[in-house]
Amino acid sequence: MWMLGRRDWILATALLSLGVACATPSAFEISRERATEIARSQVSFQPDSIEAERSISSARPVWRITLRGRLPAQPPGLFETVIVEVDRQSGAIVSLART
Amino acid sequence: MSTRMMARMALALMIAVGAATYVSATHAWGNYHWARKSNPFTLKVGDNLSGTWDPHLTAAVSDWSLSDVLDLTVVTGGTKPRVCKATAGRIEVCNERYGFTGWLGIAQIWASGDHITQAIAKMNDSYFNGAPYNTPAWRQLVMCQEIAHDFGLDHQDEEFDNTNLGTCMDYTSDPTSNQHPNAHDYEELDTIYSHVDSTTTVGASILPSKMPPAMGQINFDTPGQWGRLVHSSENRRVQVFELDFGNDNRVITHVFWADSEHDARR
Repeated sequence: MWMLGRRDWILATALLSLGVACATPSAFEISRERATEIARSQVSFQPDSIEAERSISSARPVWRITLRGRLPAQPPGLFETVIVEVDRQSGAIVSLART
Repeated sequence: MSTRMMARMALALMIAVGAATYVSATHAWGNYHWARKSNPFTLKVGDNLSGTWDPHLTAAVSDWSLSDVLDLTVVTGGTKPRVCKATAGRIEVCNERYGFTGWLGIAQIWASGDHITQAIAKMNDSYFNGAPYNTPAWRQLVMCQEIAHDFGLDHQDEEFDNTNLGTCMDYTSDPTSNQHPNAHDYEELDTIYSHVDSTTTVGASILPSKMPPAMGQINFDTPGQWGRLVHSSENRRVQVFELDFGNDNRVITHVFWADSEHDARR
């Protein structure tokens, strides 16, 4: 049977701690509504749906806002999609994705 | 002034206004651009593609490198297609079955202010493996467009059923004549990159966040890297260390020390 050595415990707990520290909501984070407002400023179409979730991007805690909508005559099954990652503490845009 | 002359002047004015509208029409993606100190600059594009996609990347890179301000060069990919993780200072291009997500291709940029620090482009084989998108024309259009988003270009037109503009930055239902950039795309790139910056994000190897680079280089094996002891249990088997990098950047190390004597008795 494989036993965890002291070094393994140290590494595992250190990584676990780092992960928990990154994922824990900060007391100073911007609201979901504010993050959504920031994300909406980045799209030119009228979104049909907006999703917001807490996430981590490049080691930064972010709101990940996904906006979807359909453009006129857009082929069936396809959507205009924009994903905006907003820094949960500063409100700065960390990343944008678009189709 | 005769009526005929007034009509000519009015026509000339209308043409001038029309021309000015075309020239000033922009399709930049916000103000996002790669920071660099001079033009032209060379951007590396990581190839994480299957063989089907490689010719399309080659063609797109060749097309966009005709720009006066930008050169693209294909390098070995730095990620797995499924995760398509970004690499600082360059573009990573991937293809995979990402599911029926509603998008054929998606481009993502990471920004520091207006400066792009890294980017990815993903081609969704969930759609390209079947009709109607399983054609070279559709693949070329999407490859050309997603890469261009990664250096700051937006769509020229988002109507699917109007006449094609002859550019991959034009949404269409028929990609036949929209597989490559057009002159206006190159003009737009000239506009976006008409200035130079005091810094560069092209080819940078720094982490694209406020996180100090040293935080990514910690060797957890050695207690000397854990910082100061901030908590210790009575029997000292549980201890907490904190390494402070400033600006609220901290690494906290929880240690559950093994009790070798106790463990040996078990």
